[in-house]
Amino acid sequence: MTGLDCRVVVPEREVDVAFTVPQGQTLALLGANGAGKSTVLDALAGWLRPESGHATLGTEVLFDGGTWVPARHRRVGYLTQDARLFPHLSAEANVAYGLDRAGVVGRSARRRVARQWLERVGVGHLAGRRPHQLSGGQAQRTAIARVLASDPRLVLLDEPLSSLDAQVVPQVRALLAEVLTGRTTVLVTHHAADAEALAHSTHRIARADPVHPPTG
Amino acid sequence: MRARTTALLALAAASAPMMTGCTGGSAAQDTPAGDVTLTVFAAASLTDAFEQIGEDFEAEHPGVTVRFNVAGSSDLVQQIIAGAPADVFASADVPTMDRAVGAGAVSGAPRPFATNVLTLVTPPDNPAGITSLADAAAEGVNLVACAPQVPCGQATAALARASGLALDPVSEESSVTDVLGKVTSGEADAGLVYVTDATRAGDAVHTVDLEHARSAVNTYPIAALAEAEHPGPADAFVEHVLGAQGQEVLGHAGFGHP
Amino acid sequence: MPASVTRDVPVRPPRALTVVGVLGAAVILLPFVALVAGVDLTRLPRLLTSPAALDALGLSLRTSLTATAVCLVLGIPLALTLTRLEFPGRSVARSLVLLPLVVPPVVGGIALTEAFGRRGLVGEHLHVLGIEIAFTTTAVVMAQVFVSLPFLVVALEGSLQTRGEAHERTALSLGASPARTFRTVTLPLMAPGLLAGTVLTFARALGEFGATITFAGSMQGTTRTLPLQVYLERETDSEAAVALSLLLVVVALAVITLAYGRKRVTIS
Repeated sequence: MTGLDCRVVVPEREVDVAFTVPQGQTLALLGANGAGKSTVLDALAGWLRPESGHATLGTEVLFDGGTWVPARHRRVGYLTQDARLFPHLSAEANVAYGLDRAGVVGRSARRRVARQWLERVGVGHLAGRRPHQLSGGQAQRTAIARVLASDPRLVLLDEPLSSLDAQVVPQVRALLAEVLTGRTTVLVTHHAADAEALAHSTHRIARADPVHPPTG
Repeated sequence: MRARTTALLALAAASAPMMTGCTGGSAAQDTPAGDVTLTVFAAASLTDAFEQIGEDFEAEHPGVTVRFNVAGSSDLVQQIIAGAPADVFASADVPTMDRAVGAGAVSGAPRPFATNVLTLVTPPDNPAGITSLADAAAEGVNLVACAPQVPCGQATAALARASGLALDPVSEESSVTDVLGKVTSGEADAGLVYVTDATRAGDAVHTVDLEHARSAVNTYPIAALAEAEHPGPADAFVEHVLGAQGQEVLGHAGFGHP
Repeated sequence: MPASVTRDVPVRPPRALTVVGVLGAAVILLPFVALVAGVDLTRLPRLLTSPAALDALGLSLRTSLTATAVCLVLGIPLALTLTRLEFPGRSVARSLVLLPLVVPPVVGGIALTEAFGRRGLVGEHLHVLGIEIAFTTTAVVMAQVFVSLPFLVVALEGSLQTRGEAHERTALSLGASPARTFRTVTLPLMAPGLLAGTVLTFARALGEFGATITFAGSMQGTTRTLPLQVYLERETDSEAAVALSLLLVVVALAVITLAYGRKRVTIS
């Protein structure tokens, strides 16, 4: 059973990366700064259209030479470094935002499910707060709940722990390990500890041979 | 990007003032040869005639340069009362001159030097087929006139009384130039302006002679000013305007004799 | 000596700059101080409640509010198109949209006449259909929209560009349609820029004079807005003009205070 199979080619950024992630597993994408890890995630999310390549999720083509599925139809959840919560919505409304796609119908059902997710990530008591009233760790927990509540078929994590205070990192990491169980996930990180705790396999992006020498 | 936005807004604020007055600048340029520069404040409707008169006067009086400040009469009188340096004031109506007299700004008594009457103008093709003031007063005709607050509006009211007509303009403008502009652009079917404005507009308008035009005669007074820097040349200029040569130029421009 | 209360040490601009800055403030404020000083308080109530003044004020508020509403309907999509849609000639389009900001209002009035006047590009056809715009209140609103729309667009463009598209992308990835993304994310996040822009737009519409007098004419109750009334009163009764000017300043001040006084929206 295949999960994700992809190749992303972006010559402008000297990126040419190919890998597969088995269904329900997590792959850690490693590499130096500027190696193009975020570029790969942007392409998989549908935020960046690569020059060439392909991505297939299960049996569905996300993009290839002829097909381009727009971001909103991909069911790809993307958790970035900063939580990017909608600042004008409460934590609960943020989590409820993606529930439409998860097939949760009706206002009260969405409220209930959003609450459950917030409880699950440990911030159930903060449901009414606006993002600016949350700490970094609380915001990232809410963002994790929001991504997973939308029931994505593929989860993308871009350095999800790097903007958090050191003392909350282990807890949030443990939370991720729990909620990502059984989810096809690509994790970008440069912390070995993250990869070890969360990933089933790793893929290291080799810096493409520089077209222009770095000096001179 | 913010900087660009802010700069644009600042620019906008600077270039789009809330009120843009219609007062004109000085019409004639200072010529460097003259020993004496005579400053004449003249009503805007006198612009063309006075430029000619100024040239004639300069030719007769070597060493004197005439400089004009043309604007609406009420603007001019405000400037004079506020102490603007001026030698002569030529107003488009008596009440405005009286304000200058009342403020003690005038030397001696003002003297009438020209008259102006209203006439009806239409766009050159006269789309509404107007042949009389009664036509212009009819329902459905876009007639534009001066507001009662300004001298040409007073004359309009007097004309309407004399003609026994109730005028129903679609717009009452603050200046006769705005009336003329609405007619030449074709927005208005007809407009009431001074004969001199119609003369100046030439082919841009079609003029309809008015039966009761003489019932609302506007008199232009002129006076040397009490604070004149050059009282002698100022008096001489007034005499020139009242003299044969000045009167002839004014006649060509459409003004009547007082 | 340490302060008795702990506080941050501010980074002050050089003293000389502050002095010049105060001078700048004086340039702006002195004329308004003079305006207030020039008002005859005993006549003020009567001057402000004359039928002509009330008509002008009512007309000004009505037309400015309508113009602001029209600007919002047109300006939000315009700003979004200019900032979020890639198309050839976009930078040229963005500059052209700002033209009414930099041309004298009277030029705007002439241009409007050329477009919508009875013999204008569009007006000619409207005339055939029996639609006359000149000398109507509609013409006033059109003149106001023309001159004030760029204010809204500039304000919105600024706020859209500063914020970027991250939240919209997030919404789309959560499965929201473009319409829902606009309604639930873009529009609410525009709010601060929208508020400031709306206020500027309304204030500009309220103060519009040159394009109105050129394009719409001047008739009490129909096209003679407050600025036109001020200009006319000035001919005969300068005290009335001063009183009405003060009224315009007060209305403008109230609007600005309303918007900027409670501008405490945080976005992070």
